[in-house]
Amino acid sequence: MNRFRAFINGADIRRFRFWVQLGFFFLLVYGGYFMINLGQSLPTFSCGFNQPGRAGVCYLLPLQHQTHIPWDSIISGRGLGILTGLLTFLAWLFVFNKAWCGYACPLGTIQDWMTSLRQKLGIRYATYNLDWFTRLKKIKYILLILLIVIPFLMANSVAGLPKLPDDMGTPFCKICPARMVIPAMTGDFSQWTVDFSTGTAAAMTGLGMLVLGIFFVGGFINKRFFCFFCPMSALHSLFSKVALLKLRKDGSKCTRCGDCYRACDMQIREIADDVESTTLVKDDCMMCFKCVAACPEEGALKASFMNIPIYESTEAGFFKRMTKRGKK
Amino acid sequence: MSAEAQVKQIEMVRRQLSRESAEALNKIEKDFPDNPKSMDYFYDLYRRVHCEGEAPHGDKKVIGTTCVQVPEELIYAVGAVPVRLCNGSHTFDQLGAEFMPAKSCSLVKATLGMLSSEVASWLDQGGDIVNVTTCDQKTKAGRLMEEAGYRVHHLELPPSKESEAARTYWQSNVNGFARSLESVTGHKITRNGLRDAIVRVGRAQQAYRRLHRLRMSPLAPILGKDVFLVTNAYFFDDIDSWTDAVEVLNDEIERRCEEGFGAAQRRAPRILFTGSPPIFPNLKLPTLIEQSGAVIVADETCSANRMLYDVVNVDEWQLYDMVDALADRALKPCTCPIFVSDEDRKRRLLELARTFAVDGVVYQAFSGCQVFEMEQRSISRFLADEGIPSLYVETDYSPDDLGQLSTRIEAFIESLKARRRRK
Amino acid sequence: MTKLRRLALGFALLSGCLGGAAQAGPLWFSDRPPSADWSKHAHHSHGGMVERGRQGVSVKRLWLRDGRVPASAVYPQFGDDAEIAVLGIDGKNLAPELFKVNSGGGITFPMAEEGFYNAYLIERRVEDDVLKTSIVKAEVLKHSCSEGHDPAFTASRMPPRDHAGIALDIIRERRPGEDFHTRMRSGDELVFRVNYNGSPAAGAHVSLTTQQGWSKQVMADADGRAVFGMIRDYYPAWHEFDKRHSEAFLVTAEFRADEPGELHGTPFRQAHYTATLPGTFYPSELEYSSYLVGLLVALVAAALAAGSVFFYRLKHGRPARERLQ
Repeated sequence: MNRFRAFINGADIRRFRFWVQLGFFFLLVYGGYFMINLGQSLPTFSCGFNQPGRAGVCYLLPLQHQTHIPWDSIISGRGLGILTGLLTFLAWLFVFNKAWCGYACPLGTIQDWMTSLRQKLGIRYATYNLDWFTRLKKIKYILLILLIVIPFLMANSVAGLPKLPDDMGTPFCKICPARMVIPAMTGDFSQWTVDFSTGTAAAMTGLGMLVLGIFFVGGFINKRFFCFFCPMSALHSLFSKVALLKLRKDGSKCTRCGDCYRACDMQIREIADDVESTTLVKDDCMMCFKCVAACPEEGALKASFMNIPIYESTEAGFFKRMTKRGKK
Repeated sequence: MSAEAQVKQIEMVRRQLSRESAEALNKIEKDFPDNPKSMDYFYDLYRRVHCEGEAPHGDKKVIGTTCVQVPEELIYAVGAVPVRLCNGSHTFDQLGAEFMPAKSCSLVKATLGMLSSEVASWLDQGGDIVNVTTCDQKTKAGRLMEEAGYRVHHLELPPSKESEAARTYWQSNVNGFARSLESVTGHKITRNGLRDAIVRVGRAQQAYRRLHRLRMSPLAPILGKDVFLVTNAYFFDDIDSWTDAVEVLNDEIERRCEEGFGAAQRRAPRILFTGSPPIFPNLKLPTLIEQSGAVIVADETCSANRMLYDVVNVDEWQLYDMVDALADRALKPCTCPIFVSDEDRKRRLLELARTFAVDGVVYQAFSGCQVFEMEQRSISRFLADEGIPSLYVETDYSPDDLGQLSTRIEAFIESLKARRRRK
Repeated sequence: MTKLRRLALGFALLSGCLGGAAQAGPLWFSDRPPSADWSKHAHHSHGGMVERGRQGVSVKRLWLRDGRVPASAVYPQFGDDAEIAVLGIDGKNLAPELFKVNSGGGITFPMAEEGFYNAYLIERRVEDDVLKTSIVKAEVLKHSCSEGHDPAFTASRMPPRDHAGIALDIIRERRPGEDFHTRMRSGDELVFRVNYNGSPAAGAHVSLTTQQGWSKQVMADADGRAVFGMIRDYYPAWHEFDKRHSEAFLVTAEFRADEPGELHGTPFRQAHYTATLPGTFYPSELEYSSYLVGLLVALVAAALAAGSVFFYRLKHGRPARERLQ
């Protein structure tokens, strides 16, 4: 058992992640061709526009449909629909927590591939300075609020204002790069258009293509560029405290050397500097556990599932990885 | 002074120095029974370098460093060898007194003394030095080194390490240092060169960490004076032979642990050593502690643990990431008292005290080392609150206070033993 | 070219109106209410207008229409002697309710399950020794996104059903990859199959008439198949363009058979069947979405982003430029 533990803890998390991500990429992007269906409430960007390849639908799509609901229908079957959708979403999240981002999300995987490409080309990554970091990180919450409120304002007239036009429907999907990128993986480029049928539609789809353009540059130069603004990540973080999969830290063992902070693609400072918290899943965290692999202190960082440690930082594992990667 | 007189004086200093070193080495080697066999490599090394004045690196390009914050991997990457100039000899301390105010730190004085005398064999006159602006004395000493004719790169360290601004400031300074290293040596830092250097230093650190971990054993397998000698040798020894020698030592110590062999008595109080760094030949305090029947099982000093413990992690093995990672490793975990906050030092001490089942802490401060003196009160109070007895010792390189020190140390160790018995 | 088409359209309209006036056109089903009052009861759903029935079950209301051109077809009163059937998902009759109001009449039936419902109204009479049978059919989809999109379930509910008991049946073939959300659009190729008593009605005259009256007639091939290319029939000013603008079309099949027999004691020598099936189509996506502009926007955005990163690094990069690359 101890030897098994040591083997796991000495594992190269990058390679493990690469294969798991690749597996999920094929499952979520092409699973539909094999009649796989994981439902409509997946807590990851399994894009609903990717038909028939999708093996399930990103929860944000039905959520934006469901919140397009008149006041008087909330206490009814449709209101119940919102609730069951949310509960299914939470059930998925409850088990794997934000590892959906670090291991399953196809858009995240694509960004990681872009990062590897940049790394191979030897181009320096960009980071946000702390000031911008704290300012920009709020965007995902704003997007989350908007994607719930806008469909609601399409169905209801609030304070005598006219209802929002129908072309505002699924507003986040309109600007989400996954809508263009994921279907393109199955050869479907039909989303790469600007819809001129109405002014609103043109504005929304135009914005979407704008975001797509920025996505390619941002995702190349910045690690996990889009995830920083992702409302799914914001939605996760509202519930991630109760999930079974956890990232734990033993602050007393931490020397604050910052090795984990350097490894973090999401620039989460607290992973190195916070020595008080025992669980450290910040709102930007994607639970890739690269920090665990980067930590040389025995048991200072660990991934645990139902309080059972599954991947732990060890000195031996650290040096094993270092010599292995330093050789290439 | 005539040329003849000067030569005579140099010869005198040299003899005094080798006598001082030989005495210290003899004490460390001969006064204790059962030294590990593999320590002979180190005893021999000190004999050659300190007593006989052998230049440690032959005709390789040597770059002097004065603090742990210098990322030595960069120096290896330009094909040079780093040598830590921090000096522990009373002879040089006296020579250096000429340049510094009376109440200054022995370490800084000794380093200056060494550099200004022509005895210095580690670094050629006019050689290159990286001086980190840590405490006031070291900062100004950098200027004095320039006056003594050395080429000095002043590597600016921020006075606090908490802010992101400090971090980026330090990172850009380290990058600037890398650039100037390239121009000094005429060697470009390449990706492969730096990566090999990182792995090389990493291997040394891995060996050190193994030694560190072995000392956790309930029956101390090696004495602290030997470990200080080992880590001290890292200052000037060839890194690869040092690593190999430490691994040989580790194997022997591991055998000792398996055989249940203790380097000290079973009931010997376990000491955590902190504060100003013991540097050969000034191992006065550690030797005294272990002669009095205690054993140093861990330390928190910049000549040992702080220098070798924290390892660098590189995410993208490209120059842009490696250099910044080295900068981070030098700054972020550093527990040097020159920084505003002492929280990390407290946490490190507490963690070491816990994992090494320490009975008491000995806090050494060189008189004149203001920052360690200033941190003493808060650290002592913190340790008392945690229920860990500590002894604060203010001393310097002179042997004059030996008698008074041994009385205090023995009393402290007796109290620790009594405390143990009560438990 | 457009002018010519407009002209043709005008003729078609004219002939449609004249035809409608001169002789009652075929009967068909439509879910478009005759008046704004009735519209209030219904709301849009996938598969057309539905009303909310008891316990939230969707109820479909189909109005009987008379006239070949959907735009001008009238809402006639309901004959009393018609046979009515609505075949549900499982093929069982759902016993629709008849309704007659001042503005027209038709049937209503509840749609509890997701999938396609087939409604039939059959009228028979003998005229000049000929049995004239009108088979009015509507194929109605019930789908609500709140019930999920299980692809296996959708696939199981997709295939059209043949009802052997129907003398002349028009069956719309599914488009490749069709699901509950698929819309028929201008430019699509629509395929219908005509069955006479369960076997292909080769040679049946099948015609398709769009909302505005454009019409095309073809002969069913040996497999009973008739193929129509859906035309573009919507020419608004560009700012008035609505991609959700739906128009009705009507498919009519006629088939003659020399089958002597008798109906309620009246003998006939020949039988003449007329079957109708309505549908809805939308403007083509190509009319309003532009790949060119989309790619242009994305490229400009990418270029601007890349440029700003580059210049940022060039300008603010003093410390960064010191960095080793």
